[in-house]
Amino acid sequence: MKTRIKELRKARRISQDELALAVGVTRQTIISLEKEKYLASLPLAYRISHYFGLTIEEVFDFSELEEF
Amino acid sequence: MKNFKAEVHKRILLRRSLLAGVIVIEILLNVFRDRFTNIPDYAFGYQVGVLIGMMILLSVNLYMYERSYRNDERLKMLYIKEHDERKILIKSKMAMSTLFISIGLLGIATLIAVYINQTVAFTLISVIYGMGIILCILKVYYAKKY
Repeated sequence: MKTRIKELRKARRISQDELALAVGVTRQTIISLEKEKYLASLPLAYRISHYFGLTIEEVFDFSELEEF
Repeated sequence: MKNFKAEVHKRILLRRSLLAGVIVIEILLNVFRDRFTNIPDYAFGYQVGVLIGMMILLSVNLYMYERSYRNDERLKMLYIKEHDERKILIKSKMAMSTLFISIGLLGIATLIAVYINQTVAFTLISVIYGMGIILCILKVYYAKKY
């Protein structure tokens, strides 16, 4: 899933470590999220969005989500 | 974080008890070794090796938990490390894959052992059935839990 985490983090000059500590995950998880290799859970997505002061939809791109 | 600190304290106490128990067993095995004349040397050596390994692992683990318990920053890092969702997912996937590969390899080993040694073949079959039964029980347990 596409995310704007890297773009938002760099705009605010925050390191991966700082973001990881703020949202309660390891740096490797932030790296995987930015590389779009890992899909965040709802609580984590909320914590990240809340950290940036944005909604989940503004941070995570759901346009490619499969429809059932 | 208070709950986690209490949890870490419980782990420290458990590991201290286990370490004490392992040391006592190790001492007893060495003191009463002469009484176990019917036990082969390699079996005794294997037991001693396992106990020493456990002592080392428990000591390292205990040291890590004691360090984290005394320092709030380290405790927070430990909490993050243990509750990181990506790590939990990796462990879960790893466990499932390992389980199925192990059962597969045991099945192949059984097919070969049947032609070589009956005792070994039956032991391997028992292990496969045992793993299968545990798998079913745990599946029901987690299905009800979640």
